[in-house]
Amino acid sequence: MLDEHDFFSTEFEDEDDEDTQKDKYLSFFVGSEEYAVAIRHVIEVIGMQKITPVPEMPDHVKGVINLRGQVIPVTDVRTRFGLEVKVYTERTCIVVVMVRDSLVGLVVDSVSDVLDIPQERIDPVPRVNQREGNRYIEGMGKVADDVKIILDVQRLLFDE
Amino acid sequence: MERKSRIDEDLSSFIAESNEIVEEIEPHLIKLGEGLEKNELPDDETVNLIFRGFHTIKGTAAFYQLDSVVALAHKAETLLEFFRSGHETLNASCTDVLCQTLDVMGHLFTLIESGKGDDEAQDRIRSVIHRLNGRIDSLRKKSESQSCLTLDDEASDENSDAGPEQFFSSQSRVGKYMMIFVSESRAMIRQIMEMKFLSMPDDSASFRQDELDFCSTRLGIMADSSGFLGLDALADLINKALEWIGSKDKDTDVAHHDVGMFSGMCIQIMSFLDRIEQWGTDREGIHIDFSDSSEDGVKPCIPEPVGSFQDLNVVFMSETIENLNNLEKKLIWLREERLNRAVQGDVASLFHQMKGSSGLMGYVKLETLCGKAEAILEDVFDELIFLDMWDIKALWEVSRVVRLFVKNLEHGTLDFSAFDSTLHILDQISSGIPEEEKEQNFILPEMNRETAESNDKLTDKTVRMPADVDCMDTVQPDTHQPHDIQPSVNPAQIQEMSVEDSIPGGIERRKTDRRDIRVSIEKLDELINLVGELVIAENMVVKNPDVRGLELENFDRATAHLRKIVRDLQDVALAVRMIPVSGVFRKMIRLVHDQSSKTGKKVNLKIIGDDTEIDKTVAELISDPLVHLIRNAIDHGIQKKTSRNMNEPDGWIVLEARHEGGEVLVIVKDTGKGLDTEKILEKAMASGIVKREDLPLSDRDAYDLIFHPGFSTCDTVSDFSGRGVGLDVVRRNLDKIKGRIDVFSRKGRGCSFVMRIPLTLAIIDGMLVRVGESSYTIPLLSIRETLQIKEKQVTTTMDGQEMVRVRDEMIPVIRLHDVYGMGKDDTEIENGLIVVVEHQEDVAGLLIHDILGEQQAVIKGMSGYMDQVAGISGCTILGDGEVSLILDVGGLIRRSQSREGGAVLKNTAKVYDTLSPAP
Repeated sequence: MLDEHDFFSTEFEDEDDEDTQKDKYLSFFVGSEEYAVAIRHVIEVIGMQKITPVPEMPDHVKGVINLRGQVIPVTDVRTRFGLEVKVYTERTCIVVVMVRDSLVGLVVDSVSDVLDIPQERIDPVPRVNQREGNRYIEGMGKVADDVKIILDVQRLLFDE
Repeated sequence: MERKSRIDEDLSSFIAESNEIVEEIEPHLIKLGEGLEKNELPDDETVNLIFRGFHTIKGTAAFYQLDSVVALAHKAETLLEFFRSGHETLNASCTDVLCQTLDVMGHLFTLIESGKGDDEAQDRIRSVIHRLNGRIDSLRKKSESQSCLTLDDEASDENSDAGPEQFFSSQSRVGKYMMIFVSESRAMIRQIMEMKFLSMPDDSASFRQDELDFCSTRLGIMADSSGFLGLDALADLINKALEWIGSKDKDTDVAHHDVGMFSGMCIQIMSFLDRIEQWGTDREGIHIDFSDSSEDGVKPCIPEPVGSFQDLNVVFMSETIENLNNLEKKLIWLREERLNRAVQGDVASLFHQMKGSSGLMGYVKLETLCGKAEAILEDVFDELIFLDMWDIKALWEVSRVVRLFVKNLEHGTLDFSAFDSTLHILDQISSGIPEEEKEQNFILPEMNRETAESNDKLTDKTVRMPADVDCMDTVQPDTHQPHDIQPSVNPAQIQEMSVEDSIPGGIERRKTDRRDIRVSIEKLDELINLVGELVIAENMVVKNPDVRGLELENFDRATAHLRKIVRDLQDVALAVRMIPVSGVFRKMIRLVHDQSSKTGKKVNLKIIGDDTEIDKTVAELISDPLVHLIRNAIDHGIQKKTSRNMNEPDGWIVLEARHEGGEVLVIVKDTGKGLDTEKILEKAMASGIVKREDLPLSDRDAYDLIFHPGFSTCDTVSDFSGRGVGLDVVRRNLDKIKGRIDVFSRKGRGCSFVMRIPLTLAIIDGMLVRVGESSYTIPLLSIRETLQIKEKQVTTTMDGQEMVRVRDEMIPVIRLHDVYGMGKDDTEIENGLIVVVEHQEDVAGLLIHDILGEQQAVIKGMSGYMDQVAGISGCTILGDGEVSLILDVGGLIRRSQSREGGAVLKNTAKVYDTLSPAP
């Protein structure tokens, strides 16, 4: 018999439940490549909205947006990776992540899927090419024939 | 686990409350001490207030078994008792000791809160208790010798035919004890009534042993003292409550009605106390008369209805009638639901109440009657008997007889004639005579409408009984079918009424005592966010493209109304988080007092603007910096005058708070010697902070040096300051809340520290302007004027700084789009507008492109992810959901100063010249 307690614990507490979020990743496109971030960082995905520019910020920090009464900064992942600037389209999304207790929006070209990538399917970063972007990579996730680049959100946002 | 955490929660709320109490009574204590120094007589009200504070702490601390706190509070109480009873006048040394007691308590609370034991503080506790004991002992000795004297006096007075004066003086002594008893008991009852099982009977499944113990000790104390004071009726009642408590243990289930009965008792005790207080103050004589008579067991004591007694009688009558009205309502209900224990309990407590008041008035027969009625209900409670229609009818009869009695009493006659037969009926019931016999033996007098109507005339308060009350009579005792009767009064309705009516004393008292509730800041923030959302949602509806351009008269009217409500709601929601700064400032009173007495300097403190509201978190964080600044001011700044009038202070300290722009200014000024720039530089060079090639430094930079960690111009380190830590702490703390501190000083004329603290959450009035494609909000308070200027008004200096001549003033221009690198929209000054802003003494003209409007801006802090942006103090959300940055005028000016080589601040020196020393 499913009693009330079980019902609630499965339905409403899963946000905090590490187990249900384990190995789950949100994948998105930036340029031609597909990236993924651990789902425990992700708060929500919202459509593009008007960004208020803030002066004296690094290039990739586009400004601030109003997320239901909360003002949060927005970072363009494209610019962060040093890719060429692209006009935002209706597919452009803002992935809101929570890092070090603050909310930050990530502008990505489009969001694609929520994936299950078990730990053993994640390879370390190849050491061949020590380019700029590599330091944001946490690992390479192998999903079927594809490879998703798993990002270290912390470094992506806070590394200088 | 859960239970433990609940206790923790309780404990922390206890600590928060106690800290509040400590904060509240401290300034009073100091004021008292200061008054005493000037030989003013202490104000009784203040002493009582302090006493109550200690008492409350003691009571609650006992509940949490914080023995050391209890011990401290108890000693403090004992000491205060001497002054309260008027035997002694306070002296300053006592107030000092009491201040120390408060300190130690505060320390203890911190220890307890952090989960440590009180071991660390044992030494301090011991020393303070020792000092308290010293004072108490000396006072006791003094009062003993004095009381011997008074006793002698009394003896001689008695010999010489005691006149009325003597009578009253001895009465008033008793009266004083009475007052103490009343206030103490009231506190105890209040504590009891705040117990978990009383406040939320449905939540807890069982009693908690500690709560029960607590109740029974409290009640025990009260029972003893009330017995001692000859308040037999009260003692009786308390003993009842004690019995009730005694019959419970932690395994007993909490039944609602049961608890209701107990809380009824508590409320009754409260009303007793009120009565005692009311009569004790101005009619002690009568009061004593009563207790004496009941003590002596003088039976049907019918006091002469004269003078003040008549007043009491009126009170008694109106009270009793009110009780009767309630009682009748309940009885009707009870007839409907005979097994409803809550109603049974209510009826019992109503009888009890009447019993109590009639006992107090000396109407013994009435007392007995009500007592009997109550006893029946108690039997029902204990399930000795089963409440049947007959019983209810008998109870109804009691109420009728009582009503008759009161009615007669109103005409000035005492008529107990109907009582005996009713008493007899009740006796029969309690002795358990079978149903059939009842019928044969007694004929209950009819309860008819006439009586009910005559009742109505008695008093306006009487609730009109439903017409079919008469059907009471038609019920035959043998037909046990309550469903036959359809009373017109809906039970639920009665319940509603009775909730309001039955315990007015209890509810109102709570209202006045606890005007606030504790709410977690997170909840408030959530509320504020939601309100912000609501504002945006409202805008989305009102400015919806679908309705744009349509002539919708009704819609417009409705939205105007909505807008008003939303605005009000927003104001209220934001005001909730703000607290006046007075709490923090109050602590400083103590500090100045202590510091000035320790340094031997006489310092007066002037507080300005303590009603300025600041965010709660900010209020907490500015306390430490203030302490350091004030200490410094007294220790280093203010100098002892060599020759002065005794009443003239050595110096003043002014503590001021006010809003300026999006900031709160907290200013500490002193009339001391001011900062010695030369000495600062000398020291700074000696310690290598400043190198010779850096010279010369501006005054401002020189003042900056004093914030350097470890920097001190003091040659000797005193108890309080001189190590050079204080100002470093000040700056660090301010950094935490993104505040800053400015120093102004002139040698020999004093020094002032201005702390500027941004309001993390506040509303400001702002002007919305457009610069290029972005919109910014400029705080309206810092705007002086807005101008459109002509080319010829502009002068450009050789380093490219533009200056605008407005009337006779040269104002530097800041091109906002340049500063923020927002691209160039229109660079011609003539096409834009100049907003002349000022910050302290600095003036600048901001070049903008357009004014978009004026609005109330809800300030939101910038995200921690972004470093602080110079010239931006925060942001706000506009009506359409867009984010607008709020300009920090001061920061903007400073920034352009540094970038453009100080062109903006040509008249910096003026700042220091205009600094007026504190009054």
